[in-house]
Amino acid sequence: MRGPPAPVIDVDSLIVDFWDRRRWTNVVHGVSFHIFPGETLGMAGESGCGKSTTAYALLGYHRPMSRFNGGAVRFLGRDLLRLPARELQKIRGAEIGFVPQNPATALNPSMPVGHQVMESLEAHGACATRREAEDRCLGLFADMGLPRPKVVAGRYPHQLSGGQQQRVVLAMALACHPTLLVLDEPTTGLDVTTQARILSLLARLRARYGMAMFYVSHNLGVLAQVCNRITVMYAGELIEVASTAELFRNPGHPYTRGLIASLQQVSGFVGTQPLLRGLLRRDALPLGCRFAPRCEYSQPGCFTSPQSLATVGDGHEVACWRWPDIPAGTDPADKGTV
Amino acid sequence: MLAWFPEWPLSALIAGSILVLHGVIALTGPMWAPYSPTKILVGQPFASPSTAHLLGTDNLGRDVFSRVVYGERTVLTLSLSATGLGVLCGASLGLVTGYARGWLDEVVMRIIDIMISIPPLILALLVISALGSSPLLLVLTVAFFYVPRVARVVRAATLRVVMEDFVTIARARGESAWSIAHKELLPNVIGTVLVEFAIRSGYAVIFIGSMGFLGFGPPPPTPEWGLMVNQGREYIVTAPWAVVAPAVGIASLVVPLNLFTDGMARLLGQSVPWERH
Amino acid sequence: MLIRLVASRIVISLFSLLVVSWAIFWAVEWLPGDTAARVLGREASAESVRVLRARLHLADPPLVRYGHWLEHFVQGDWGESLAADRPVVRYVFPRLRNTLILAGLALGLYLILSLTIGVVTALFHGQVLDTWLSVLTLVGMSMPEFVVGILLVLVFAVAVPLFPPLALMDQVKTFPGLLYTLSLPILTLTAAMTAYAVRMMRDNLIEVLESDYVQMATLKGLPRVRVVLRHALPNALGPALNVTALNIAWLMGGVVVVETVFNFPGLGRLLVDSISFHDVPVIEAIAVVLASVYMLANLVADVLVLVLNPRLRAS
Repeated sequence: MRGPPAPVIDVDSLIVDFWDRRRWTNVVHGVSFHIFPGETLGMAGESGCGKSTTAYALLGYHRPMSRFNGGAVRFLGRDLLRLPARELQKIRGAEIGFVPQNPATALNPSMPVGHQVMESLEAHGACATRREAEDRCLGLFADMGLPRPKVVAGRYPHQLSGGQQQRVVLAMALACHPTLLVLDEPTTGLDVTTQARILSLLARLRARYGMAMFYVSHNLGVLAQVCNRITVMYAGELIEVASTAELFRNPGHPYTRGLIASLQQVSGFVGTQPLLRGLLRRDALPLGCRFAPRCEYSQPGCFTSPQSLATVGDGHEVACWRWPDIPAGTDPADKGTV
Repeated sequence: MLAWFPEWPLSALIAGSILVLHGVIALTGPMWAPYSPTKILVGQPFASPSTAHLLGTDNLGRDVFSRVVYGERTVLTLSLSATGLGVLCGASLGLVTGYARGWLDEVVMRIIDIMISIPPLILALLVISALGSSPLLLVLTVAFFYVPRVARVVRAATLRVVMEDFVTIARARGESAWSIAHKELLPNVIGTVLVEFAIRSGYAVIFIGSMGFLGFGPPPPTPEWGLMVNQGREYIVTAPWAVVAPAVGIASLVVPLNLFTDGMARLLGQSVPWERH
Repeated sequence: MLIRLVASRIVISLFSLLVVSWAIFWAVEWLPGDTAARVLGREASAESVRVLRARLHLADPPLVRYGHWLEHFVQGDWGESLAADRPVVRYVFPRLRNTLILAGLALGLYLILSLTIGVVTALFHGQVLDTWLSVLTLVGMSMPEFVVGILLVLVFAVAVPLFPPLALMDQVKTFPGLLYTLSLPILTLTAAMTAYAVRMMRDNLIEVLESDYVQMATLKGLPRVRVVLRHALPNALGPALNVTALNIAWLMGGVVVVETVFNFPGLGRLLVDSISFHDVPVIEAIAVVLASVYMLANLVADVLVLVLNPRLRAS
């Protein structure tokens, strides 16, 4: 048996801080994971947990008023966090494509969309002539299933529907045939039908272009459709990593169980898992397990001892010391009895 | 209100203390100013600053320091009353039209559009040249220019509040218009009104100072800063202090006022309508 | 949609201009007291008052007089100056030319300065330079023009005699000479306008630089310069152009003060002088001219906002 192939991207103890009025607040707290070639890795978590910030870090980018405060993001061996701006430019958009959360605001309102795609091709020297860039752009639009590519290319963003905008942005991200595609909640703003169409488009594109993907979403259901493996993030930390099948069959962390339970409830299936209560509050995180205040199974010890990922099965890691004590389907009323 | 204190930016705090100082000078100045502001030949004309005359004397031998101190009261009285009057009327108009909406709102907004398109300085010059310059007229003119401008801003703020659910709920509960305005509307619009008042006080100081400088403010020998700058202009080489002192007086009032407004607006989450009228 | 909005703005402006011209006429001629007596002063003889009343058609009903005046004004007949016994047109136009030269030069300098400083402050957003420039613009916006002008004279004409303290146009022969003579008034006018525009541009640019599409442009791997010039600047320019139009409107008041500070023979100073001479036809003419430019600039500002909004432009 051969060893695993070298990962496309390897995130190692990533730490990101945000400037919050008068001090730095930690938002991503020592996150590590990797993505293999051609693999789709999902990241689930509720809003504000740091998943978009992690997605940006995969392009060596942090938002204004924030900073990298440690760790490394190695893309094919090069640490993006320590790369000079000029080198980063060559990688962004060419080797790593990015699909933003809200295509309506991510497209420049005063530039025709075709122009915005061609601009990306030209910046990376992917096309020798303008004519060629134009042809490639129209070809991409056709690949994305946009009707009448020529007409669409001349349109301004606000003249397109949400689904069309998302297809344009996808074309932009795939223009230079990237090795890795980072998708930050790409279907959140779309209605369910459009979302389904974009997801099946993504599946086709992956088959055709063969790129690895990092897919961020708050919706485990969406991730289940597109991902090989899934990571679950809570308050800036990874709390569970597993293959998609394993995660749904055998979720370890109470938070993951809660997420799955909410999903089942939404789809009309009444499960026995406890639902999630409360909201993520960054101003009231305990020293120990960050999920403890909302956890149905928490014990005094949870609040004081920090948890880190530990292997519990083949490629399955969980950051909860009590996970073996919580058999699937346990009633939360058992709380306190070990 | 005091609980905000640590949140204020340093620049706004410094500006605030300077403003307090201006206020104290305006209130108590006449009690401790060394000379009468209008009495001539209290010293040699064009005397340079000394212990006897802190800021020297002007061409008529009047004490510049005393004139600047007395001028504080003139400037603050005129600009604050003009702004107060304008903001009061404008805010009421904005509240009423924003709350009532409908045809009244339409008509008032069209009139406001026209009123705003009148160039303030030019019309003020005409009115004052025709009716003669009097402080009261100056105050009324400035207030007149502020009414439509304030009304427009307050109306927009009112509309934002009215669109929100709690006003709809209050209406559904059957509360009277007066009680809604009093309990729901006013507390939410008050921030906008405060910023309007602060920013327009600064404009008023500039406007009234400029009118004084052009010779259409309070008549001589009133110690008014704009007028003092204009009168001292002729002797700028021999007695620069007679020009610098009132000029610095105005600057030291308007700059902190705007710094303070900027800080306050940020705290209240408001944008500042920088428009210089 | 767009055309209708622009058209309605133009109609409102024309109507406003009519209202303003009426207000000007009213302010100058209908106010309490007899215009002729006010013009001539208390010691005037009854005879001269009678002559002047006839000349100003004061016996006619006010509305008729306004109608006559408007009719002639539109035809370019602006009446006779009372003080100089010359047609107002011949009196006003050389002054208007001077004012336009001064305002034009100030605008040129203003455009160069505000664009550069605005971009620089936005690029260095959150750094020491930005903080200082930001305070500086606020100071610039807070200083009345006459204070700025006087302080400039004091520093650059009295203390260090680099530039002339008064802007007298009679000796000007060459363009460099013009610039030299007008340097201080130009600086005075530019200071306030620039401070104002830089602040607006900076706030806009910062907002735009933090927008999703600028972030997207960065994540596409575009060079920083391209991101700022092609994606951020065009979207921040709309409001900046709007500010420029408002600044031109403001100039119509600003010149009155600045021309007085520097004894510059322009329209603003002529207005102030005419007011002290009670030269009614001249006052009316200048006020209407300045008000027209003011309102035209405001109209342009409004229309620019509409036209530069891509949502409206494309539909």
